[in-house]
Parts: sequence; C-alpha cells; structure tokens
Amino acid sequence: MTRFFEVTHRDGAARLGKLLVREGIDTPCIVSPSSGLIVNGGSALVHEDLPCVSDAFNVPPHVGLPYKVNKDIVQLFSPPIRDNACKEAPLVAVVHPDWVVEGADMYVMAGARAIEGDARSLLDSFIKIRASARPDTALYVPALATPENLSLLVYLGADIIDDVLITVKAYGGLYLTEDGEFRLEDLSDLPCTCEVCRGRTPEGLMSLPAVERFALLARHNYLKLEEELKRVRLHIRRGMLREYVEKQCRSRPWLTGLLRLADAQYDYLEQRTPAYRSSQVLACSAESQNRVEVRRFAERVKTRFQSEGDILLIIPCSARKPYSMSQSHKALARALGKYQGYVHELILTSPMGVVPRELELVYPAAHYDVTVTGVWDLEERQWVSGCLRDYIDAHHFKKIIAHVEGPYVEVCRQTGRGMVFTSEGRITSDESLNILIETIRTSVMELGTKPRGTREMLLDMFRGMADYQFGAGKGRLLVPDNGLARGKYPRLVLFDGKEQLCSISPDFGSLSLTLEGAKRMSLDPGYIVNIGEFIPKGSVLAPGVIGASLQIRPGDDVLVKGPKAMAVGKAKMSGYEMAESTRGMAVELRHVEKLS
Amino acid sequence: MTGLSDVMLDIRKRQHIKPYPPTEPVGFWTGEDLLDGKTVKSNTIIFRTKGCFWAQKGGCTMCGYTYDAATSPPTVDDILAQYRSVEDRIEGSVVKLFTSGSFFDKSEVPEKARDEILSSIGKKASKIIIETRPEFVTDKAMEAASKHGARIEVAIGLETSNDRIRNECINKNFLFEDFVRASETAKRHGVTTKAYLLLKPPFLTEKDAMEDIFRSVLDAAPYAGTISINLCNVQRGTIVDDLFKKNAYRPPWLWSIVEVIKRVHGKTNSMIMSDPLAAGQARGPHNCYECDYAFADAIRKYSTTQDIHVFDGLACDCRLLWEKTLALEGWTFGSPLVY
Repeated sequence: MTRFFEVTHRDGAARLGKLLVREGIDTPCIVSPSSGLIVNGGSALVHEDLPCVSDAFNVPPHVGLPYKVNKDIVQLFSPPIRDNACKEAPLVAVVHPDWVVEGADMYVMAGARAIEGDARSLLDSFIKIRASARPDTALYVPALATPENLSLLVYLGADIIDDVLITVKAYGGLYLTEDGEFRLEDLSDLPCTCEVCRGRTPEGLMSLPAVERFALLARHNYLKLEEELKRVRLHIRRGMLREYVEKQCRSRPWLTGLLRLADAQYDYLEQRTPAYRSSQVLACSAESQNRVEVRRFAERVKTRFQSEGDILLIIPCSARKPYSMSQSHKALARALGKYQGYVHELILTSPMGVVPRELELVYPAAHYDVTVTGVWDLEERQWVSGCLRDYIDAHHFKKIIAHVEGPYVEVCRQTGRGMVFTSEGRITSDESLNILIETIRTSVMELGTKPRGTREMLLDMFRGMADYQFGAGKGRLLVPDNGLARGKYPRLVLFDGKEQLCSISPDFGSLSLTLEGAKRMSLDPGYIVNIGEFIPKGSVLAPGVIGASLQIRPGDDVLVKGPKAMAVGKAKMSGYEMAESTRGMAVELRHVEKLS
Repeated sequence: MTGLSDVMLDIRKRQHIKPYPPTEPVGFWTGEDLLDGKTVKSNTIIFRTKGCFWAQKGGCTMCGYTYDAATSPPTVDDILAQYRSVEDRIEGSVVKLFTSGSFFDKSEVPEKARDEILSSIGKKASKIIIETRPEFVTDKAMEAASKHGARIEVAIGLETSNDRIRNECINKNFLFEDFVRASETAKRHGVTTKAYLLLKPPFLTEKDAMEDIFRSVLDAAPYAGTISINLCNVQRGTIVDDLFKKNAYRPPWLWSIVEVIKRVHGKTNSMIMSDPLAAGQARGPHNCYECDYAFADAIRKYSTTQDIHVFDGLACDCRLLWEKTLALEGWTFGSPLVY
C-alpha cells in the first residue's frame, strides 16, 4: 500500500531501504526534528489537523502512550486513521504495539522512551508492531537511540531513529560513546577524535559556559550516533549485523538481555533471516549458539535430513570449510580410501552441532568460523552432544564409530549411546588411522555392508542438500538413480542425461534449480510463489505476487507459477513479505517458461 | 466503551482504605495567607466527609484525596464534633474549609452542620475560603453562607479553561461555562471566587501543559480574584500514579511555573499564587533535584508578596535542559523525555 518506502536489503529483521521523498532518503536513518522530514502534528488534545506536506512524512495530531500503560487508557486515545487523512502525502501513525492501525506508510512506536532499559517490553513492541503493520512500512522508534543501542534497535527492525535522546542527554551533561555514557567531570580524557573532541579536554569543556558546553556535547553525541549508524549500515550490507550486535550488546546488560530474549522469541528473527547467503557466520560468543542460522540448521538436520547405511563415522570438524578441503579431512579420506564408501560421515562441531558430510557445503556449515581454544564450555558440550544423540536416535545405524580426539570424546560419551572409539591421541596419527580402518573393515565383514561408489556418494550429496533445502523426501524426486554429477568439487552440476537439474552454489551454500529440477520436486506447497497473469522478465516484484508459501526465506529457491508463465528463481524476501508488500523485488528469476 | 471514570473506579477499587473515626477531621494546620495585601495567619480545616461524589463515580485522574473519606457517612453530630475538636485552635483572620470534595455538597456536609460551622467561624475570622465544585454554588447556598459576617470566597478546581483537557485528561466532568456561572452566582451574593488551576495534567507534554495554564490564567482572571496554580503531584491510587509508575508521567518542572508566572504577571487583576507541594521529589514538581528548594521558596514567596523580583536570582544549568525538553518532548510521541 505504501508508495513512499521501499526495502532494498535485508539482514534478519534489519533492513536497508529508501524513503521515497526528496529524491530518496536511505534508511536506516537519523531524523532530526528540525529537518522537517517528519512533520509532527503534536497532541490531538490541543492541536488541530495540519495540512499534509507532500515531500515529508506527516504525523497527524495524536495522543501516544507507552507500551506498558493500562490498555483501557490506551484504547481511549487510539482512534483509527480517519478517512480524510493524508491520501496523497506520506502518512505516519503513532501506535501502541497492541493497537496498530491500518493504512499508514510509517509507524511510530509511541512513547518508546519510557521502556528504555526494559528489554522485554521493547522486544514485545517490535514484534507486535511488525506483526500488525505491513512489512513494507517504515518503523520509527523515537527518542530512544543512543550510540550504544542503535545497532540493537536496527537489528530488531527500526528503520528510523532520531537524535532526540542524545540531545537531551547532552543537555544533561552526558558524553556518549558506543560503549557507555559519562559525566564530563568524570573523564580525564576524551575517548574520541571527532571534530569536537579533537584538540579539547574534559577540563576545557567544563570551563565553558553551559550553553556552549552542552551544544558541543550535543554535537559530539550526534557525531557518535551518526558514526554508529554508518557502521550498522555497513554490517547490514555485509550480512553481518548479527556478529556486530553480539559484541555491541555487551555495553549494557539490558541490551545483552534484549538480544537473548530476541533469540528466545526465535520466530520473529527466523521469519526474517535468510536461508542461504554468501556472508560468513562468526561464532565468537555464547549467543552465537542461539542465532537463527545455527538453530535452523540443527532443526533441519533433525527434521528434513535422513541418511541410510549401517556404519556411522563420527569425526571432528576442521577450521577450513568445506571440511573435506581441510588437511585433517584430506588425510582421513586418504587413509580411508575405498572404506569411505562404506561409512556415513558425521562431523561434530560447535556451534553447528552435527553436520552430515552430505551437508558440508550448505549454509552456514560451510560459512562459519568459531573461536577454537580446545576447551568446550558446558553449554557447547551439551548442545552438540544433544544434536548427536538426536541424530543417532533418528537413524538406524548398526555400528557407530567415533574417531575423535580431545573434548570431542567427552561430547560423544555424553550422548549415552554405544559407540566404538578408534583414536589414540591424534586422529591423524598412523596408529589411530590403523585402528579406524581395522574397525571399519571388521564391521563391514560382520554386517555385510555394501559400499557406495564416488558417483553414488555425490548423488547422495545432492539428495541430502535437496532434502535439507526443500523438505524430507525431495531429494529422491530431484535426483534420478542414473543421475550424473559433473564439474569440479564443490562446483557440481547435476544432470539426468542431457537435462540439467540443478547445480551447487558454494558461495550461497545451496542448490540452484533449473526449471526442470524444480518441476520434478513439485515444490508445492513449500516453495511456491503464485503470480498474476503476466510473463515476468528477470524478476518478480512484490505487487505481482498473489500468494507465496510462508516458509520461504530470502535466499530460497522457489518455483514461480502463474497462468501465463512458470519460472524458477531465488527469493529476495520472505514469503509473508511477498504476499503483503507492494514494493520491492520478491524473486530474482533464473529461468522463465511461457505457458501457452 | 470504557472511559476514564471506569479506569479510575477500577483503580480505586483496588486501594486499601484505612478506616478513620468519623469525629476527627482529616487535617488542621496554621499557615500564612494574603488578605487585602497583607500577610496574615490562616487556618485550614479538612473535614472528613463521605467524600467527593464525583470521586465515587471514578473522578479526577490525579486526585487521591478521596482516600481520606470516611468509610460510612458522618452524621451532623460527627461533623460538628470534628469542628469542635479544632475550634479552639482557630486564630487566623483567614479560615479555609476543605472536605476533599465539596463543602457545599449537602450530602457531604449537611446544611445544619454547615450553618453552625460558618456561624461560629464568622465570629472569629474575617474571611472564609470554601472549596467546592461549581454545581454546588447555588443562590440558596451562597445566600446562606454569606449571612454570617465573614467574607466568603468559593474555591473551585477549574484546573484549566480548556474543556477538552479538563474532561479528556482530568475527567473533571464540568465545563468552563459551569465555572463562569458559579462565579457569577457567587458574585451576586458578594462572594468572591478563587480558581485552582492544574499545571500538567496527564497526557500532555510540558510545553502543551504550560501553554494551557498560561491561557487558562488569562481566561479565568475575569471570574477569579485569586488564581492558585497547583503543580500536579503524583498521588497514590490515581491514573497519574499508574502512568508515573510506567514512566509515562513526570510532574511539571519548576521552571515551567516560574515561566507561567512571569508571563502572566501584571496581565491580570487577580492574585496569582502557587504552593509547590512535594517540590524536589520525584512524585512532585521538580527541576534537576539540585535547585528545587530555591525554586520552591521563590514560588511561595511570590504567592504571598506578588513580587516578581523574587525570581531574579534563580539560575541553574538545568534551565537549558528544560528548554530542550519544551522543544523536543513532543518527539517521544507519548512519554516524558526527561524524568
């Protein structure tokens, strides 16, 4: 419905966008009240309606109330948008999270200032407003941003913030930085090199008349806020805002709490987090283990992936990704030789849990980097061993071999499941490898296990990736028994005779389907985008979407279906967003077929 | 639909009210007041009655006085007993009669008790100030009250001259024209009017509240010889209290009342006063907690002297913060900006 805002990039709930007034204003952005970009009509109790300004966002007179105020009072002051409100000009609604009205281009989180420090209320406010307001409307979180919290506000979905709180903090004598606020008199040095701080000292500032001192503080605070905004925009563009907030949230306990609560409210972030992308995932904090990418991977391994076979071989991860390109895994593969075809390899890793060899190229298994010290903390051990136990219990292996060293041994033992340990000290030592080979050889003989050839193992990789990506059982539909994988690992292409079905895209950690590949899997109802009566070229824009599967996430391959065309491509937004948005690219198309 | 009255009733229901003996007044104290340009002693008596009828229907969003009401309606004898218990201590030329409701409401103070009390005080004091809602300022009541010798002044909680703010923020349930009518009725019987205004009802920014009181002083002045500006404080068991606890209300800055007084000084023929109750506390009017007592003293001094120069020496760096608050508070879209 909005014509005045467009989202261009997404990184979880954070987004880059454009306010479509005044030649376009990039978001997230800092709005100063004096800029006139937002016209504040003031209190409805004392002000009359203002005429709408066409190149600004108009807030009609309103009575806002903070989140925790008694609902009965809130509803007294929360009228619906009037029919005669700005029709042709951008309209802003001041909303209480429990009382979001339809039809605005931008929403203001009323009285957000009152819940500063209250992580739960702030998170609820984001979730509730976003659940009710259309996804392509802008969200303005007023009078709350500081250099410390800006990244978290944007991470949770704020498109607009302002310099109001940092200004009054300056006039209260507070010097703000991204890692704390200080009273000027408590500083012996100015920890900043902005135009205000360069060449000045705290004593120098203190000796100025209040009016000058506060104005300089306000300028400094603004520059810090702006610097933080620029940093955050960079990280959104890189797809790595999560990594940034994991460290930035440390500046205040309540901000760390905000991140943890957001992780616990999984769905809000999950609905907005890309399924596949080319950026790295850095796991450097305890929170990394709870981020959507990690949880979702574990969930999908559990619910979508299934491997068959007699012998499970558990091995440790490697720093290099994909694992099979690492020295340790290469050494292991060399030693295993033909025996590799008799076992199913499962890689143990923090924070991903367990990664079946078939999924080693999948995002984020091939994209993460984790702090390695050789010491696993209690939570890591519990998490990984839980993943391993679930994996073992969900399969029917007849023999489980753990070829692991160091802390991995304890993780395996903690599962309480029976397994043979084959490593004495280092896993790549001759002695360990000999025990491993001997154990496998004996097992194969006992069980009469049939080997898989290289071709079959590659087809299993395609099957596993398809199951992971599109749902359990899809791999069998996509990959024919006589299929052939061509190309140099990991850039493999799957053929059925001359027909190309899909290829592995190692950058994104996903399969890229051809139209034929998509049709064979019949992506209904999971990954379908229904469009109107037109033949799309290059991309499908949101207004052309009639309906889209709710589980679609940015980065997913989808089958586009309409009365006049069928196409396959990569989703640029989540399914719910495609269905509800009126602007922005929904699907970037790879192949289009006209229907007669 | 739920209104402010329903919300107030709900809050009031949940309050624990201490029972008091019906024969003891809520309060009695001696203070100073201005009479014909001179500072004189004054006495204040707050009678314990069955309480304000409007508060019993929910009432005003900032008013917690009703929790002083008697649990069962005091009889004529009870009320007279309350009076007798303080009668001997009355020594001021000005006596103020409050009930936490309306002294002229017969269901609070029966006519017999009212007549006896006024007749007794009329012999001692030269002026009696009586608090009441405007609906009880009738010809009959004014005639009866003014026959006891002392000058009578009715004190009415007008709060603001803006009907929307009075009813939608304060839930006062009367109009400016009701106040005007009451004042004119009083005047016919030689009774003067004092208007109470409320600086910073809930749901308004500091700036809007300040502008409203500036306007209200000018509007009320033709009908009120005295205008007393009450600075809203946070009383337990009220909507204001509820909002305060949720960071949604901040009492007014003392800078604001000083600013209002400076702006209206000399523009009316009325006495302008203000008693900064609870000044310097989080629940009362305050600036930065450092300059508050100096401000409160100056405001009290102005009230008894009407000398605008009492404000001359007041200065604090927090003035700049207050100015920013006035300019920017509307940008919180519903909460205080500085607490």
